[in-house]
Amino acid sequence: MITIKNLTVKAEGRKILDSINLEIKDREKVVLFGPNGCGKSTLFRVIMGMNEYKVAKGDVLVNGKSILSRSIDERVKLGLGYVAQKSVSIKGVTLEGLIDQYDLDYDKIKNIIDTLDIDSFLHRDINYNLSGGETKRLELFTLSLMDGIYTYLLDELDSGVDLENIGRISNYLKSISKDRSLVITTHTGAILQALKMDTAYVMLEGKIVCTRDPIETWECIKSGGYDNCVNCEKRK
Amino acid sequence: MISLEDFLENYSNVGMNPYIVLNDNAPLPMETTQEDIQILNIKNPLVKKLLKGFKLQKNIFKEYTGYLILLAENSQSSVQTCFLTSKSGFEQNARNVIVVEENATLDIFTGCLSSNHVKGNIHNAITDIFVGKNAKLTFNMIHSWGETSKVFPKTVVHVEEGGTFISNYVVWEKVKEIVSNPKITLEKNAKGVMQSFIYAHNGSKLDIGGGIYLEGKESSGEIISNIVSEGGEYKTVSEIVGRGDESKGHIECNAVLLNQFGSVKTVPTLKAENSSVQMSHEASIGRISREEIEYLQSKGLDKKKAQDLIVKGFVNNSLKKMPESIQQKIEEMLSNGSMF
Repeated sequence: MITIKNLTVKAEGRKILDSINLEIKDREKVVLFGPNGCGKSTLFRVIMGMNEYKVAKGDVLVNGKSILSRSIDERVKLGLGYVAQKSVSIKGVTLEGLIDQYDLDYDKIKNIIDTLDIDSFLHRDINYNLSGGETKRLELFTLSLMDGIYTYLLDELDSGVDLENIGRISNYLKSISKDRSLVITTHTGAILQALKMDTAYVMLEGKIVCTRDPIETWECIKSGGYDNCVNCEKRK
Repeated sequence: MISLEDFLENYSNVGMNPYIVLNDNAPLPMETTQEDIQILNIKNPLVKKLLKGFKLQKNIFKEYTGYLILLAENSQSSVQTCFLTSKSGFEQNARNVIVVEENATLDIFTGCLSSNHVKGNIHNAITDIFVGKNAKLTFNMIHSWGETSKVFPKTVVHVEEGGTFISNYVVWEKVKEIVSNPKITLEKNAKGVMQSFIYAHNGSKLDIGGGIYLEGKESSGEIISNIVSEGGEYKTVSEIVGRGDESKGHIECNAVLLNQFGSVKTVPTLKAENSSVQMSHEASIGRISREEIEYLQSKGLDKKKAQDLIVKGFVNNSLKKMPESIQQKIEEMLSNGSMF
């Protein structure tokens, strides 16, 4: 379980996350909505411990223990898996070279290689010259290389991805999500058609302003954009 | 530093024949005179006759060793050479000439080393290389001089019409100092490539540059330097001058600094003396990107492992266009943990 308590993060004197309180229960499927720049990606990156952000106030806990002093890789070992909105490519490091870093039985991952159809880019440099869909498949695959990833934080997994790939990615997520929590963000909503989510949150200007049923929220955003949320009467 | 025995075992198995070892300033132990290839002691009186009409650098050495390698037209061959110094404080002088005649193809694989106990030796070299019409010479060099060795080669290359000269230069082991600045002149349609991978260890001082002179129409030249500095001081002063119509030149320098002790300086010069030439330059120097480290940390690797993998990737990428034998050698050294 991830608990976010009163989390405030500042950049250049401005609050980019403002008193966020959020709980992601075991096996819960959460979708985070919000316009570009509202802080969704920042929230993910702060949870993962990416260095560019300094926490001004509040805490992030995994199973009741604060993780703020832990390094990124230590947070991964606590069960957090992350796929960033923008992928990072590393010249000269192939996906196969990355796989070699784990003590793995190749037969064990063969199945996932087939399911996510990544065989053709095993020998290629990580995330070099891959399409949007290929990158996201690669990223999901890398999460399967690590043991004990129970929470998947997936930032705009469906952006720049064609329908065929959305289907493939959703099917894969369905197959692994039974025992896991998912936290996703989406602008297109495409992934919501295939994956049933439990809870939706809406973020505006670094704050969580709404908690509702996912489909209902998405319909509302679709009909009038985030203006509907800004002017919403139900807003806390 | 590796021993001579290791060197012979590791480097001599690339299936090349003939094989030359030049020790200190002693003459070439065995000459080769075949119809297609001649390898002669540079002091052999025949050398003067064979090199009549060639414009050579002045030999300033009093005592010296060296070879002439002459590959006859339309032939193909590989030669492995090794310079060795076995006495501390010794100054080895090498005077070498390589001639690859029209339509011939030659691969040279050179390793240089000093015996384990040797300290403070110097290797000087004056090398002239002639690549004939439509001929190709690939010159591969892996340095294994000792950490107290100083190396000062002077190389001049002339490539005739349609010919190709490729230099693959690897400095992997510790060395005190290298100053190397080869000059390559290219005639019509000729191609010259100098690519290097340099690991600058703490205490090393490396000045490895070069010049390519695009004299002929549609000639092309590239100088690509890849450097990992682990405290070493590295400088590359490279120059491409475009004179021939529609000639092309490119200078590139990629460097990562692993700690705060090293320095990397690139001084590229592109000079166009003809309005139809096309030239470019790119350089990227700095520490390993934080973004890349964090990305790999988010794959569960700790910081040290992430850094090592990125540097390994940089090395792999630097060697990508080099021959497989060099790639394998470095791959072995990396997997044996002889680095990082």
